[in-house]
Amino acid sequence: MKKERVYYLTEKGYKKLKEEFEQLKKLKLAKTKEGSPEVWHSEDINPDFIAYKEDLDFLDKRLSELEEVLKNVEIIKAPPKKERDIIKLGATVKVQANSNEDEFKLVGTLEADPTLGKISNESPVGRNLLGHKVGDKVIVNSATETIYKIKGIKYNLD
Amino acid sequence: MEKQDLEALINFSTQIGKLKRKQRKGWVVWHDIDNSESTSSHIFRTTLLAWGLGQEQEDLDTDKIIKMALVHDLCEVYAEDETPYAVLLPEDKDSEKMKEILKKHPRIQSSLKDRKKQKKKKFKNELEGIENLISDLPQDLKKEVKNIWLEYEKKLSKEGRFVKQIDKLENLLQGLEYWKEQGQIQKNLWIMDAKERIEDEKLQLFLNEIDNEFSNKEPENEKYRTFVKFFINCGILKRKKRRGWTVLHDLKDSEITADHVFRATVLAWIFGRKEEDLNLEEVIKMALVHDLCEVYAKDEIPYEGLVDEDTSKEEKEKIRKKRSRTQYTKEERKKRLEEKTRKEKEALDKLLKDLPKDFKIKAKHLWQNYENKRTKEARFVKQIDRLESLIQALEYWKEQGQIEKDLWLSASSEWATNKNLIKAIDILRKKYN
Repeated sequence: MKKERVYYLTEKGYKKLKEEFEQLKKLKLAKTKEGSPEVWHSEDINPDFIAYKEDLDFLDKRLSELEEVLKNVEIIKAPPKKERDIIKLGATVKVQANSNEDEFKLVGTLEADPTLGKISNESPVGRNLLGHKVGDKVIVNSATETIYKIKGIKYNLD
Repeated sequence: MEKQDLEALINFSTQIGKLKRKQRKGWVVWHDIDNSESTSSHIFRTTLLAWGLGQEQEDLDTDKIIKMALVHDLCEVYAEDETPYAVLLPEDKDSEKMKEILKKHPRIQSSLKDRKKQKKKKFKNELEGIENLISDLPQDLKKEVKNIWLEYEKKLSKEGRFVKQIDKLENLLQGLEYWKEQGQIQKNLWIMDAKERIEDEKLQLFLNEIDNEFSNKEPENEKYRTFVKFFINCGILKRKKRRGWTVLHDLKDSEITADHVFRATVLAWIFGRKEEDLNLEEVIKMALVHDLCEVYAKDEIPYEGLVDEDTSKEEKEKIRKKRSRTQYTKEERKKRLEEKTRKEKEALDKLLKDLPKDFKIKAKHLWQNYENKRTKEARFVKQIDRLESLIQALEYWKEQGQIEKDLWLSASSEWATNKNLIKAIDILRKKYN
């Protein structure tokens, strides 16, 4: 049997997707049930989701994607105090890479956005940093080696 | 199809044709690359990568990822093509300052607030761009293009997240090709950035082999190394001018093979989608591979042997005025065609020879069917290839002259057999009257 994928989300990310799911369910209901057109104009509907109202098929696909995610979600929580010196999912890491100071957070694939400082735990950089502590030198190996010196770790998951 | 819908498809084709001339901003503004790629040629290789590497995945909808790669940058017909460095562009555009900026990741040189703002602005512009581009398309197609684009842009599905990574890898490949040819690219920084972004395990193998290839290291994974070499070779089509426009017509700033393949593939999709007896996925892939042989084979023109770079303008004009067919004997034509097919087949075999068997067989099969017009899909794509060239010829005629417009249009009545394509040509005839 195919192994289900786990989706790691921060509490904030989870709430956002859950909200999207609930709103899209409402839209779907309004779309398939006669006599509820007022939902289109409802202020409860986040304008980001309006695109879905044009297309039931698109809405259905997104709903099933969200359903799969929410079924297999694992919320990222800050580790117990004694383990907070180790890089785990959710850690904000201060590093020195190629003699430049940098800071980013390790998140799951759905929230990753390196430009905004969120790196996926499934990327080579994210994967290699996990489990390390301040003072460690982490080499992300390939023909072009990148060395990350870990300068600080904090957990700020609010 | 209704006339109104066909008109919309023709207008859409003209609009996306603008991407053949649109140079990607990052290379021009930031890196000062000579003769840099067009958006359409980036789309061409991204689509090829999406197909080739996508079929190595178990649970992806290949049909969707190919379409997604085709539409992912169409918004740039109208929207600015912004790089993550845009937020750091100095007002005086001082090239020394810009070089310094490029040495570091944009993330560490700008505030989170500015980056968020830029991201929002970019999305807004691109959304407006795509909506503007598709506004007159038939309803079903309009929905499909917009939804696929949104899935990509917002990473709403696994296909969207996959094609985002593919786009990044194509960009990396191109960046490293420029690094090798012209310098100017921060190779280590580019690879480091990719290592933050590529999440899929198989794509990480591919990324590793890109790194190995450009660092002259032995392969760690033979299969993905052959893919890297294949896609680098296909990059030749991003630089290869189509000879007909240059040798026979002396056109300025004319298209390259990748530009033609890009638009032909989009045309195959949008005109093929209502042909119920055609396998649309096969039609799209066939259009994508139809000129791959030109990586190694000469792009032979119908007037081959009658004209070359040294022929005078007057002589070229005289030659162009007559159908190519009438300028050879039947035997000459037959011999030339056989020779051309043989050379192209050899070229294709050379290009595909080391690739994984599965992909090699599929690509070769599609190309052979196309070449021999063996299937109804092939006969359709042959007409699409000619339709794309006809649209391009009419666009050049309007812009530069030097095209025997009436000859091009009258020739179409010999090759066009598909009802909708015949109607589309009629619309073109009126449009370029």
